[in-house]
Amino acid sequence: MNSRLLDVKGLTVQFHTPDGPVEVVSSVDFHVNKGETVGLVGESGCGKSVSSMAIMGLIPSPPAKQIGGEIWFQEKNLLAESPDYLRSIRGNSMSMIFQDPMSSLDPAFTVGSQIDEAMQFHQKIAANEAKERSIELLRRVGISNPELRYHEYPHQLSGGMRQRVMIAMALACNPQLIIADEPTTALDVTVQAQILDLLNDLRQTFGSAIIMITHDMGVVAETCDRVMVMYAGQIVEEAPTEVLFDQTAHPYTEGLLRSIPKISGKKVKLYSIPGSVPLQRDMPKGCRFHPRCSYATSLCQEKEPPIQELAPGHRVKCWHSDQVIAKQGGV
Amino acid sequence: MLSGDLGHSLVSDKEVLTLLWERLPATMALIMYALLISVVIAIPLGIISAVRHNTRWDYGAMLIALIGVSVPNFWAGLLLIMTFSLHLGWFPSTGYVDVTQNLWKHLEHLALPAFALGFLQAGIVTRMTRSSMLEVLKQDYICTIRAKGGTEKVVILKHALKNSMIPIITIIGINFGLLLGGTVVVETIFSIPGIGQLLVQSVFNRDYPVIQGVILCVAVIYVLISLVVDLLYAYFDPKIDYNEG
Repeated sequence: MNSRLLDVKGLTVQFHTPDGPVEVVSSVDFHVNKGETVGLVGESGCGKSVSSMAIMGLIPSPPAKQIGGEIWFQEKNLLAESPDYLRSIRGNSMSMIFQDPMSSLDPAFTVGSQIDEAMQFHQKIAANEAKERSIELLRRVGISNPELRYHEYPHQLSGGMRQRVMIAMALACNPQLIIADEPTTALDVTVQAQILDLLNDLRQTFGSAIIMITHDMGVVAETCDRVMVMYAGQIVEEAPTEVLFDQTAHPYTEGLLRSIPKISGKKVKLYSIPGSVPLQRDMPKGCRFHPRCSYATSLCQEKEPPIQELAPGHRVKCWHSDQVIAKQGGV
Repeated sequence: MLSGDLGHSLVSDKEVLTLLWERLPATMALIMYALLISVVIAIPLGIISAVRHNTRWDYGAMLIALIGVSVPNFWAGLLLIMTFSLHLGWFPSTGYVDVTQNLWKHLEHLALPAFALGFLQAGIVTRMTRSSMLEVLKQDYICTIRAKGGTEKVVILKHALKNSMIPIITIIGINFGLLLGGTVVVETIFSIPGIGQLLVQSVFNRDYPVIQGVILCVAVIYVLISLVVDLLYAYFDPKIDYNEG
């Protein structure tokens, strides 16, 4: 239990819309151990970003919200803590890397001053000391000429460099947990690999745990120790990365894995999961994935499957997981 | 005219340039105070209405802005004179005292006209501040600052405000012309010996050289203000750098 850094229990997020409340995340449970990298995978709109924003306490109030459940971090339930407490851990023991480095840095300030700021919010630190540390951080994340770059504005840097700056900013206070929300989606492929390598390196030196939010199974394979697959606001499968790839137990995960393009072998039409993510306001009864599932039976239409533990650490929310596993054995 | 000789007034036989130099300080002081008043009212009001978007604060601020935009400044001027000079007797109703003579009297005389002039500008700037701030507050980098643990004060007053300034100073610059035009009316109502009043008098007297001189002077001021606005851009938006290219 002590190795647990973050423990999310029954997290539920509702947004109020003109058509009534919409549940974007439905009783999600997961945990993150110290120093491990956990992947959170799913299609756009499945609630993975909202879950991470809820952990950071950053869901904006205007599309009025209701958050239920518990988020335990450093022996405190974040959902019960004051905004001031949340602010004091944000960027300090928990930080975030955003998807689009192009728009995530303030264009009116130098990158250096923005990294300094991350430290100054949480520590009493002299300006020149902050500057020294920022330059050191820029060097650590692989930016050449950090003394020069420190004084530059975001528009003078390339996308990859800006993402490195974002990472430097996230590392400024040695956080125990970094939430990386699709950190490589907006970058081109060669830069993607560099950024992933950098994150892997930094995890080893800084010992921070990382929640890697992505829809790219390739990124998962390369970086994560453990994976959680989200569909329509629920976690449908959770397993150590290797197990997930070898013994896929949920039809949705299977679909995701089959939709990865392969370079070797014959050219075949790329698989895609039929249909699209259901709208939150008319969620299908029973299993939420059944309208798109090739294994679906009448049972799936009527009753929501419980979460079963197939092996230690491998949990799945499906009535027919045995069939899914059996099929892979056969192929 | 190109040699700097604007000719002589047909009425008083004074040089036009001398007349302008005599009158300019009053007008400049009036405009500067009006600008100051408008910014001091408008920017906080705009920020409040953006931050408390769609609440009573917002509606209140927008109502004030609407009144500011709608009330013509000659009427605002008359109302101010009636209330604060005639009824309450707090401020003198007309006249002008130069700064060099008595600073307090100087401010006292210009307070009402500057307010009458600044209120209209304030209405416009409030609305621009509000919409510009709302736009900026939606940006990703605002979320980044919150994710770093920045307080709302830092988010709004340091980051959001600086990023919203470009449209705000643009609108202030453009409306400077409105302010200059407003001085004609306001100086007449409050009997301030500025170039606005000079213009009105010379029009009545068909004093063409003076009219010409005033118009030229106003145009020059407008161009200079535009230049200042352009230079301010470089401070607020680092993408604009006049040293390159």
